[in-house]
Amino acid sequence: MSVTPRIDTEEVTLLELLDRVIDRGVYLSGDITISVADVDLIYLGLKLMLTSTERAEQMRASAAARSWGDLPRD
Amino acid sequence: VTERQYVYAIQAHDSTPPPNLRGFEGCIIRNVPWRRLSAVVSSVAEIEFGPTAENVLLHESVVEAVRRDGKALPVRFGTIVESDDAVRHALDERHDVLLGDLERLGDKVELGVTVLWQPPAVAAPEGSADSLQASATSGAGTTYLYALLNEHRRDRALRDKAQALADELNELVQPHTLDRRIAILPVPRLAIRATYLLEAEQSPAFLEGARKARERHPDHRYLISGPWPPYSFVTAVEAHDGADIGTLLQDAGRLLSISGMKIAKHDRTADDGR
Repeated sequence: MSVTPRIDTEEVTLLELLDRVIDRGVYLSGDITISVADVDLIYLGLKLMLTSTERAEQMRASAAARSWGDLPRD
Repeated sequence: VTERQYVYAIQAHDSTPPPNLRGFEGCIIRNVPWRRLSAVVSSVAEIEFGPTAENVLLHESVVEAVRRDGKALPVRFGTIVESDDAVRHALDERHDVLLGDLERLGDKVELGVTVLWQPPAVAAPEGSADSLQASATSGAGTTYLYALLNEHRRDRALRDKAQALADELNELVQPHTLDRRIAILPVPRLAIRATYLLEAEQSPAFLEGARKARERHPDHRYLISGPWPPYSFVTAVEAHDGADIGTLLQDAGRLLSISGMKIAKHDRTADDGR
């Protein structure tokens, strides 16, 4: 029943590199042109990629089944 | 030079880049020396560099090229300063820390090991799950608190299992490493996210150890990457005005595990609320 996520080696290497060059390395007081919003998207991409499709589907299904009627909407 | 400078790496003051090495926008790479350090830079006209695969790989290729000739520290992607004077000012501001890091890390490498798993089912916490819920006759609030407590215990049990994997990995690679950074269960699907610092020549022995760990757990996935420049081990700046991405992501990971689809809308709110 477990779904092994298919993760391309090249993709993993790139994500590992992104993880390093953006969040780590020497910080100098300059104009850092990467906005946090951009970085969020990359990281969430990584985290989501590593969440198996099966698990994501389960969460979607349970979220849909629940009643969100009394929660504030934005 | 008063043009904007993109900074790739930090080296000793007398370093020179490999001839004809080019960076962003095809501009030549050069060193700007200051006191006992120098910054590896190239002029840039653009002020925004998105973290695309192409840009990130170019940044990394310059860092790796200068490291082939001597000690160098990798600078964070997207660091652009206004002029050569601003480069010197930036070097001056953190001179001693950078010099110390250059000595300590300049010729070292780091390797990453990320362990993916299908989070194992952990036993129902003793005397807590169903029994406590059944005895909770005092209403929804109490039931909710017991559910929270059980959730906490399950998380604890899962964390212990991930920690055991980390201990085993450490034992296998430790003899070849100098330092490490390990996150245990940053999100449910990631048991461990580890980074080790080592001498470049220790890489083959390290990889052998990491592969042994992988062989012991064929049901998990061990993603091994590197050797990289030692991005993860440079001294952090104590407080700067950027958000702490690591913490933000841990929050995002927690939200992901709790509410799935809602993450995109609410991760920022969680961060603001702290």
